[in-house]
Amino acid sequence: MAIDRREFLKAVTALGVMPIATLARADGGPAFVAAKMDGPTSFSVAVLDQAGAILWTEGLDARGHDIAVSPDRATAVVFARRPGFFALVIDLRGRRKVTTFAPPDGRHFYGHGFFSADGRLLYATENDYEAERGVIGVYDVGAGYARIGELDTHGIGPHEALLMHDGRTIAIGNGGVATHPDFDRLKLNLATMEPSLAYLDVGTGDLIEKVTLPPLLHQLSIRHMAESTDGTIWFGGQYEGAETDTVDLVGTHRPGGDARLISARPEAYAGMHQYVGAVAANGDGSRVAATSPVGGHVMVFDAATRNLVDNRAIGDVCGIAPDGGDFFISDGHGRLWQGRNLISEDPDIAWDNHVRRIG
Amino acid sequence: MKHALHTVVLLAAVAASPVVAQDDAAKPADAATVVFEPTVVDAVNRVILPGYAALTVAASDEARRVNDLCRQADTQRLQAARDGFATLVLAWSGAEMVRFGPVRDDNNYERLFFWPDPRGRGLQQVQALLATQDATAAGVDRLREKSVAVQGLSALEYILFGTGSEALADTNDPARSFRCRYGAAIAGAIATTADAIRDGWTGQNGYAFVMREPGPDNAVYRSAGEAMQDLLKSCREQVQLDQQLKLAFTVGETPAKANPKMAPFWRSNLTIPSIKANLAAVLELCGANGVGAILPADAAGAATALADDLKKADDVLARLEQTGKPWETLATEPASHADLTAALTPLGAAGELLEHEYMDAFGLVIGINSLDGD
Repeated sequence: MAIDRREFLKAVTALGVMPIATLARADGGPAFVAAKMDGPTSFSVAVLDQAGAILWTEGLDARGHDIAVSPDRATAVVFARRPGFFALVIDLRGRRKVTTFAPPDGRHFYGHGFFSADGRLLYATENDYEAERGVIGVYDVGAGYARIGELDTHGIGPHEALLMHDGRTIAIGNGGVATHPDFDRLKLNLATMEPSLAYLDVGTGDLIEKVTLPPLLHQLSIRHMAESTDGTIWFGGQYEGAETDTVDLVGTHRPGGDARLISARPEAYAGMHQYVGAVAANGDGSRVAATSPVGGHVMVFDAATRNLVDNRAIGDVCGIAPDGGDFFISDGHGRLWQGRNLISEDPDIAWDNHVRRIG
Repeated sequence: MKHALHTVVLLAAVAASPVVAQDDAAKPADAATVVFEPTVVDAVNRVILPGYAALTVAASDEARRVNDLCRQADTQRLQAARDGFATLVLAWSGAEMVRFGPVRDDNNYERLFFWPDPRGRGLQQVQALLATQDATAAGVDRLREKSVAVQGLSALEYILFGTGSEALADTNDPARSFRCRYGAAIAGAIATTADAIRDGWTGQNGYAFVMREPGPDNAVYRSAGEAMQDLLKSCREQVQLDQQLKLAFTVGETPAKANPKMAPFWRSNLTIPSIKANLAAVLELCGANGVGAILPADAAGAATALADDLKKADDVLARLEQTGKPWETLATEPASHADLTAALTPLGAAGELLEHEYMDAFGLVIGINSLDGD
């Protein structure tokens, strides 16, 4: 059975139904930024207002992944999806492209990065693929994003990394999975992978702490993370072991302690299909959510009690960003959600993996 | 992406309230007009289980042959072991596309097929075992505790076909004994792994049961549509792997840029036969006798087109195989390089059919975020 858009609109009009919730006020100011796919070979990054309306877009040569927003909210850098070979810098106020830059030979972007607290440096997770070593490339913003060095992530396959609220500590999710651009996205070391959470001093690059999971969970690839207000890192994993294994996918770590996975009823994690695609804390840090496009679910946890407090079914959901007490969520079917409410839908586009709040 | 629109539409119309986050079609629902379950059951019974059964038979036969060679070394027995290896590789290549289920237990997939290995780790580790004559590598159980790279098909290929393999037929060669005993342990380890995979499918509540009995209580498949997605993904990924990595990458853009030794099974000159076996398995699973049989009438042509594309590629590969030339020569001589390059086009088309036409026709379109995650 298929109903086309016109029939649908007629139907909802007859029922007096408002199809798209209008909770947010469109104020025209940039509030979120996300990569999207406009067709099989058409890619862009979009800047959205609080209500999810697209303010402007900038084309990309290939799929984008995550976006780093500068502390002054004036600049955003979109990283190409791994194996990524470009980053696009956009001026959020001037609504224009500033420049593009690339990693050096022998490196590719993993798709994530962040600015230093003063906004003068940009950090990007990268693959030193011939050495099978994770690094964070350091780029000088004032020098046209010239690469001025790199930090060892002390693991293979660093994916998301963030600057913690102290402004001095980098937290890195070393997924542990080796890949090589010659072999596209094929995973080369599943039998021996060793994911970890690593913390570096942003000033010196020194390793402060490295945390691994118990050996039985060495195939739980730590990929995405967020920091709650009390300095706890919440991470989400992607399990590379047997489909029939029951694995807790979300965990927490406080510097100096052990990583602790969060138990939830098995059917809740089963809805995630062994995969977390993004993690975010809400605006006040009281809630942390993990999304799974593979399972089509969003799990929401109370940051203080670690209890699962909400579980939402959204097909191909992945992007998630803080939005007041709840979350701004995007999916691959062109939909945007504010909390539990669908606020925008365009079936001709697909929102790519991540959405970032601007400020 | 129209499918997604329909999903929201139907929910909204039924709920008669503002659309809220309960998109119950989080995974694509079974297309109303297509019943997947019999086809999933057929795929398990007709393709997957026989594929693994053939693998276990070939593996135990090869273990017997290599042990026979170790008991009495001669060229005839070495040839028998090499012939058995070819049979084993073809059996594996028929099952290779199944990347879900018990092959994911205990690194079974990597234990059997450690490829690609861009840094040559496997070869280094195998050579180190040979150089040190590490006695713990000469027994199946101890070998299975070692790196996955030293206990699978690539390792056995090196033993039987690699530098120094002639020693296996020479009773006077001091390297013979250990090399053969290690080879026999590898063959035994392959047989053990193959048995474990088969048992994982056929045992009580094994993966065959998991696939055949989808539902809300099934930890892996909530619907037959999800199981169908895994089947289609297997076909698509195998075709793309053959096209992009086993062929395009190793053949290179020009003969001068070829990397023939990055291809699997070049030492035994089984690169082309193994790819042909991959494609035959894809046709068996997703062609007109398999998944393609239940394509809706308006998309039935996709099954025919898939068979045509796979045949075009297979014809080229068969012709090259019949020359009897080594893979390295075929990949680097201009005429055969051009032929191999030409085979990429129909393989690309076959991949497109599986990725788009098949999925669209079944209403199983996978969103970009879940298709190939990150």
